[in-house]
Amino acid sequence: MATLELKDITKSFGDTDILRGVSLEIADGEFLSLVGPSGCGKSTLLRILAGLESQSAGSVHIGEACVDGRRAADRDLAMVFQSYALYPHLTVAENIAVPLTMRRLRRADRLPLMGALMPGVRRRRADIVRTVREAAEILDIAALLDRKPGQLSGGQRQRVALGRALVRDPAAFLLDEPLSNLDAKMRVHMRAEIAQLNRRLGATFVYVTHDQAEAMTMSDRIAVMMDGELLQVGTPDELYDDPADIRVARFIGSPAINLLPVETDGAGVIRLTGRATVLRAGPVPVAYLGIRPEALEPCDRDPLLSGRARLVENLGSDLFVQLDVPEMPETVTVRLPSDARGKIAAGDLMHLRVRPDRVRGFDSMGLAAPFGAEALADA
Amino acid sequence: MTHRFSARQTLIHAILILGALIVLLPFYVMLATALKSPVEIASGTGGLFGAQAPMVSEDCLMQGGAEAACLTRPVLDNFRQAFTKAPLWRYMLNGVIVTAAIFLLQTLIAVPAAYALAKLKFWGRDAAFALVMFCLLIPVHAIALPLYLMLAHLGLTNSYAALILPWIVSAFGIFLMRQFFLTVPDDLIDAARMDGMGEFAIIWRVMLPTAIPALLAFAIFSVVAHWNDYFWPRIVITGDRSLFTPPLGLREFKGDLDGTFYGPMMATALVIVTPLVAAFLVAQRRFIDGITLTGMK
Repeated sequence: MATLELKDITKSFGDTDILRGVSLEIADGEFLSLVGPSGCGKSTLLRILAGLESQSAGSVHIGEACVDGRRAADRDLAMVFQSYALYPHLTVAENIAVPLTMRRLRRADRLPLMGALMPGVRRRRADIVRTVREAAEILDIAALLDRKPGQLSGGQRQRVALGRALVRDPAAFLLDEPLSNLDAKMRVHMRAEIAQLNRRLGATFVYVTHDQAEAMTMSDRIAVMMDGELLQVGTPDELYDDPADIRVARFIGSPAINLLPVETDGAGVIRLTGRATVLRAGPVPVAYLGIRPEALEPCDRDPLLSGRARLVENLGSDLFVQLDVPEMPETVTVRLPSDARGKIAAGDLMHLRVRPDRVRGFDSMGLAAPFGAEALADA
Repeated sequence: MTHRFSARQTLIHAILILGALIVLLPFYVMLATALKSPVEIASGTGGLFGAQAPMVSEDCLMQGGAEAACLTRPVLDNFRQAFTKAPLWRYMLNGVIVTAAIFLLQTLIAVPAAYALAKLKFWGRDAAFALVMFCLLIPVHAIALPLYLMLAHLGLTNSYAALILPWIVSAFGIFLMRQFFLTVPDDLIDAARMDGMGEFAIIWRVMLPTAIPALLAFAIFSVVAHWNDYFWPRIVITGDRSLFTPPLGLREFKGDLDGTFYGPMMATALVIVTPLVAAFLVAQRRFIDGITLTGMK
C-alpha cells in the first residue's frame, strides 16, 4: 500500500512530445483512472510509473521513495496488461506463482534440480502454493489452476492476470485497458469485480482506459488526458458537472454533451443563433454553451431552443431525441424520461429550456468560462 | 466435399511423386547396396534384397579364417564388416558428443543474441543485425583455411575443440530465433519484468519455452549439418582415429588399390543416417503441435 506521485513528467521520442509536464498525486487506496482517447499518452504515463519506460524529465515517487532509475522489478508494483500477457507454457497455478518464486526464492533455489536440495526451499514452495490457492479463491478460478492459458476464455484469462497481480500484495496495481479484449457483457461484469477488488484489498489502483464509462463507474477520481497533458483531475461528478475544458466536456458522458456555439455581445449578453438569451457572461466572453442531454426539458413558452425531432431512440429506460435546430451546425441531443415514450415522434416540433445552473460556458480557447452572478440572478 | 477428377491436381501430384522418387532413389541404392553381395552389387542385379545366397566372406578369409567359418549371408557380412573393420560405435559416440555440444553452445549464444536483436533497444542494433545477415552469406569453405590456421596456432587440431568451437556461433540460429522472437508480444516481456525477472531470466524462463518449435527447427538444421559434415572433420582430424566422426568412418571402406567395399560402406552409411531419420520422425510431431502463443490474445 502506498501513495504514488508523478512530478512534472515529460517524455519525447525525437521531436515528438508524448507527455508534456504531467503531475499527479494518487492517494493510498485510491482508484484513479487515467482516461483519454488513444494516443493521448496515458499508457506511456502508466509505463513510466511502472518503470517499463524511462521519462525524459521529471520524477516518480512511490510512498516516500523516489524510484527514478529503479528497475520495474524493484518498484513493487503489479501490472495487468490489455493482452493479459500470461505465460503460454505455464499452467494457471504456475503463472500466478511466478511473481512469488522470483521474489521469495533465491537464484540458486530456482535451479531445476539443485534447487530442491537447498535448505528451506520445500517450505517456501509450499507457502507459495498456499498463497496461489488463496488468490485463486478470491478470483473464483481455483478450479482452473491446472489448465494452460490457451484453454481459457477471455474472462478467465483476465482473472488469472489479476491473480498474478494480487498474489504478491504490491504497493499498487496498474491496469492497462484490462477489459478492452472482453465482450460487452463480460466487460460490465468485470468492471464491477475490479471495483470491488479495490475496496476489498484497500490497495491503490491506477486504471488506464479509453472508455469513459469504465472510468466513471469504477473510479474515486479520474484524470483526463489529451495530447500529452492532464486536462482535469477530479471525481466523476466533478468531471461530469464541471468540466474545466471543452475537451473534457466532450469526452465524458454518453450520449455526448451538446456544445452550442454562441456569441457574447459587448454588454455580456449571450446570444444563441443571434437571439439574446437570459444568460450573461462573466468576465470572459463565452463562445460555447455546454448542456448535458438530460438538462434540457420540454416547455411551452420562452424556449432556449426549438427544433424538429430527426430521430427518436427508445432505450426503454430513457428516450434520446436528436433535434435539428435551425442554424445549429450539429443536432442537439435531448434525454427524456421513459414516461415520454410514445408522446414524441420524428418530425415533431419541440421547444426546450434549461436551468441556467445546469449550463456550462466555455471561452473561445475551450476553457471553462464561469457565468457572472447576475446571470444566475436574472434567470 | 466431393472428390472430382481434376487434371490440374493430378498433374501437381504426378510432379510431386516424381520429385519424391528422385529424392528417394539414392536412399534406395544405399539400402540395396547395404543388403547385397559384392557380385550382385558389381553386376547391378538382385533388386532390393538380393538373393541372400550363402557366400564366403573374402574379408574373413584375409583375416585368416577357415573357409567353413567364413560362410555367411551377404547382409550379415556387410554389417559385420561395418562394425568390426572400424570402431563404428566410437564414431557414433563422437558424432553425438560433437553435434550435441555444438547445438547446446549454439543455443546458449544464439538465444540471448536473438533476444537482444529482437526485443531490446540499443544503439547499433540494426547494424549488428545487418552483420549477422552478412555472416549468413559467407560459405564455410571460404573461411576454412584461416580457421584451420588459428586452431593450429592454438594447438587445438586433432581435438574435440577443433570439431566444436568453430561452429558455436550460428548466424542462422540467431537469425531464425530473432524472427521468432519478433512474434512474441512485448507485453509478455513487460509482464515478466513486472514479475521480477531480470533479462536473463526472461530469456530462459519465458522466451525459450515459447520458442520450442523454432528451436526444434533449428536443432534439425544444426544436428543434420554437423552429424553429416565430412569437410570440416576431414580437415582438423588428421591422425587420431578415436576422434573420427561417422562420415569419416565411411573412408575406412575406400579400399584404394584393392577396390572399394561398397556393401560394408553402405551398411555403415545406413547405420549413420538411422539416428537422424528416427530423430526427425519423433521431432516432426512436436513441430506440428508445439507450444503455440494462443494463450496470449
